[in-house]
Order: sequence, then C-alpha cells, then structure tokens
Amino acid sequence: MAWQVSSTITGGEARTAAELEEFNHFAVVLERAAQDLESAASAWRVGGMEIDHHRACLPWCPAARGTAEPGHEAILYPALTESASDTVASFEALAGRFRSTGDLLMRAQSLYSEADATASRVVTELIQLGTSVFPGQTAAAAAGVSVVAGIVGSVREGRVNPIHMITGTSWAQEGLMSGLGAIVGGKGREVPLLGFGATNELNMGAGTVAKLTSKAYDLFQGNALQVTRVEPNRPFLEAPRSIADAMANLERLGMERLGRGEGGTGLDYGTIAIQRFSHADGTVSWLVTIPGTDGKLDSPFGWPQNVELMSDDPEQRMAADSARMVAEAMRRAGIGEHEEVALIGHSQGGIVAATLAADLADRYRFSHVVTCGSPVANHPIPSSTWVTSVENDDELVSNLDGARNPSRPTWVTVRGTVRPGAANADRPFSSATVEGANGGKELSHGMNYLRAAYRNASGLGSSALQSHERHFSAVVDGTLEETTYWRGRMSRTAAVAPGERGDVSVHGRK
Amino acid sequence: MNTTHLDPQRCRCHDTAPTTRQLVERLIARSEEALDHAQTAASHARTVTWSGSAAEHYRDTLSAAHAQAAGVREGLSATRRLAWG
Repeated sequence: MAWQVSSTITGGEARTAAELEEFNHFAVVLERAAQDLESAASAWRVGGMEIDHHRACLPWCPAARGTAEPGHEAILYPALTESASDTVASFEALAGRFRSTGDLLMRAQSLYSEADATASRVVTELIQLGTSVFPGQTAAAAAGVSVVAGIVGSVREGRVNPIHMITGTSWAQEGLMSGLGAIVGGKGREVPLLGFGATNELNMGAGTVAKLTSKAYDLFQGNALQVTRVEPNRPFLEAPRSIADAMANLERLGMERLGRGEGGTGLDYGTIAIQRFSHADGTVSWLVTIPGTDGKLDSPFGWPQNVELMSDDPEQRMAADSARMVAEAMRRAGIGEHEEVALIGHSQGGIVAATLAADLADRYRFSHVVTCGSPVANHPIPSSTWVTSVENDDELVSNLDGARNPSRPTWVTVRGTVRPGAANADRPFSSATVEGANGGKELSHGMNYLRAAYRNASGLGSSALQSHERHFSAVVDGTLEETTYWRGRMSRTAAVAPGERGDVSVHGRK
Repeated sequence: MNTTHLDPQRCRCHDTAPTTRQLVERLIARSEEALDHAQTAASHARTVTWSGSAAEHYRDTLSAAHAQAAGVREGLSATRRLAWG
C-alpha cells in the first residue's frame, strides 16, 4: 500500500489584515458554492426517488416501462430516473472540485492552521489537566482508546498492526505527555489550573528524570567522549541548495551511518557532517547535518541522551553526550563566532540542533535551524534564529514536547497528515506520495515521510515558507569548500584507541 | 378491470405526468441557480492575489470547474427533454 502526506503550515511572517480578509473571502465563496452544489445534489436525490414513485404508480402504463405509445404521455420514466441519478453524481463531483480548490487555498495561505493550533492547544491543556488531576483514570482511558484504535486500524489494514495503537491516539499525545511531565516534574501536585497557561511541563519532567538516568547511564556507558574526524572512502554528501536538498542529505547520512544506505563510504554510527561554504563577499558560512538516535551502546546518540536534551535546565541539556559531541565537532571544524551557521537534524539530531541554538547563542551565530521530527517546542531558541520545523501528526516523537511549536515570524512549522494511497495526479498539490513506503501502517517519523510532508508544503506557494527557504538558501548558496565528517564514541576511560586515525579529542562530562 | 389497455386517454399517466414535469422544472430551476452561483464564484475566486505553481493550478482548476458547470447545465436540458418528450 502506498502512503501520501498532506501538509499545513503555521507560523512565519504574519499576513496583513487585508491579505487575510481577501483569502478568507475567497475561501468562503468557494465553500458556499460547494454547499449550494451539494444542496442541489440532495434535491435531485430526493427528486429522483419521487420520480421513481410516480413511475411505480403507473404499473400498466407503457411510459412507466420506458416505451412510447400513442395516446399515452411521452415521458420515459426509467430514463428520467437514471438521468436524475446521473445529475446527483454530476453535482457532487462539481461540489467536490470547489471544496478541494478552497482547501488548497486555505492550506497554502495557512488559513486552517492558526484556528487548528488554537483548538489543538485547548484539547491539549484539557487532557493535561485530566492527566494531572486523575492520572490513573486518564491512563486507563488512554490505554483503552489506544487498544480500540489498534483494533480498528488493524481491521482496516487487514492484518494485526500494533502501530495503529500509537497513530490512532496522535490527537491526545501532546496532552498526555504534558500531563505526565507535570506529574514527574512536580507541577502536577500544585493546583492543576496553574498549569493551564504553561507548555513546558514535559521539559520539567524530563529534567527530573534525567538527573537519575544520566548518572545511571554514565556508570554503564562511561562519560568520556571521544570525537574523531573521519574520512569517507569516497565523496558522499553534495552541496544542498535548499531545505529539501538538506533534508535529502540528512536522510542519506542517517541511513549510511547505520549500514542501510548506498554503502561504500565506511561511515558508521555516531557520525555527523559539517560543510563549509565560501561567498563572493569573502564571508564563510556553515551547515551542520545531525542524524538521529542510533541506539548503539557506545554512541553519544543513544536513547537515554534524548531525556537530557529535553530538560528545561540548559546546563543539563548541554551535558547530553550528543550535544557535547556536536559542539566539540563544531569547535574543531573551526567555525568562527561571527560566521553564519545553519543546523539541520532528525529526531534527536533536531533536539541537539535546538539545544545548541538555545544554549550556545552567545558563542555562535546560529542563523537557521531545521528540525525534522523533533520535539523542540519548548527549547528557548532566540527569535533572531530562524526555525523551520517539519513534523507529522501521528509520528509520536514530535508530540513528546507536549506542545505545539511557537508561531512567530521566524518560526515556521510544516505539519503533515498521513493517509493511505498514492497522491492523486489530478490534484497535484493536495498531497505528496511517500517514497519507499509500500507496506502497512508505520510510524511516520522516518525521513521519507517527513520529506514528503515538506515536499507537499513547499509546492503550495506559501509566502511564509518561501521566506524561510530564501533565508536558509542564503546560508548554503556559496561555494562548497569542504565537507568534514565527525564521529563520536563514549567510553569509561579517556584513553585513545591504538591506531586511531585522524584527530582525536577526548572530553569528560563537567 | 384494466381499461388503460383499451383506452389510452383514460390512463393515469395523464394525471401523473404533469406532477412529474412540475417536479423536474422545479429541480432544474434550483439547479440552474446553483450553477449560476458556482460559475460566478469560479470567475471571482480566480482573481485572488497569489502566485506560483500552486496558484496556477488553482486558477486552472477553477476554469475547469466553470466549464464543468456548463456541461452539467447541458445535462439538465437533456433531462428536461426526457420529461417533456
């Protein structure tokens, strides 16, 4: 089974009131036309039944049988009934065309998104309130909904697929995560309504948990970080010229370092890429590409590091092995404090990017951050840094921050909704087909799903997204001078392995 | 005893057909009004300030919808002919 993604866009530069009024006006015009046409279809549906009833009242008349005979009325009831049925279909098809055109206008101009974001925030806060006040009952209800979603989804798919238990509860995940964070972080024990205005409960909870998990994991993994510059066996990443190109590179590197890519580079887990660009005016800029969790036992990009990165404590965030590793690689690559830096990351890689942009803003000039499937809503990224976030509704990971991303002129979020089937060639902007997804329902956290979300969004001609594209492209449109690759490893000792090639630096946790 | 077989002038179709035709005319009048509104909406909505490939597709679709509405209108004429013979 193929899969497709349809995207909405939130944030970015606000429209003027006149622009909003114009788009809203036309959206209403098209929706009213669709409703008028649907109403006409309904009238013909009922009318067709009435005509058929008239026919049934004439059992002996040739007109009722569709035959014209002298002396009888020249009205051919069977053909008339069929014509009524065809007219219903014609009006419904026309109504559908008007509605889908109005939908395209609304999605391209983000008219859905602000209202949807507000409504979603209300649902999220209510679920968080319920979780904080009645944690046991809420957990039981959530489990029940999850089981039902799993059963319904599996029946529709025709096989048992537990993924539906996750994707079927995507509408509630932010609220549940937020409520859980409030409990773990101690905020749930206060008067619950005080949490209604906040959005960072999960980050507070993560900070509480990370105090224990980081120490425990250090005992197991060690906290000596070794950062090595590595050389691929052949040229690998090309110069990206757009956010879409950079996402493609991110996917390639992510797959390659886990042995699931093109192969032949020798790159393995715990590897990031740093690209240096030179510009005609003599300036230099950089792009840091950061794949996500690899889950290897001696990798700085293991699973427990995610918890530290989600903390509301900046020191704790920067103490995460993956953040330390990328920061060290950036230092070794020679990035100057006044040189523009763009970061792009998937999953944990995106959280690292948001952490660096938030906590090293006084050390580097972070111009643009692209996060793919990353829960970064509460990372305090300065408004001077542009952020482009790409998420899917039911991928779970992006909802782990318990909140929607900020909606501001310098932060745009592309949010995809995944549906079965390939994109309709007759409606090229309604959705994008996911490459390489031809099986049953899976979590849409993979880069192929996120790239499809971005591909659909970027085709809509949204001025907000176009503005972000131009801003990102300005960082990477120079001459690619060099691509360097950096690998991180964790150990209990600071000793460098014999025969280790390339530069090596070793750092313990502060 | 069924007399219609003998005398077509006494068939009930002469009572029922006018009712059917009135119904069809009412439906056609309502449909033409909806189609008028739809074609006006399609022409008007094309004037939105929006550029790019999605915007071009949007305008092309509205032009096609305008033409599609004209086709539905022709279908109504055919339906009328079926009612009136």
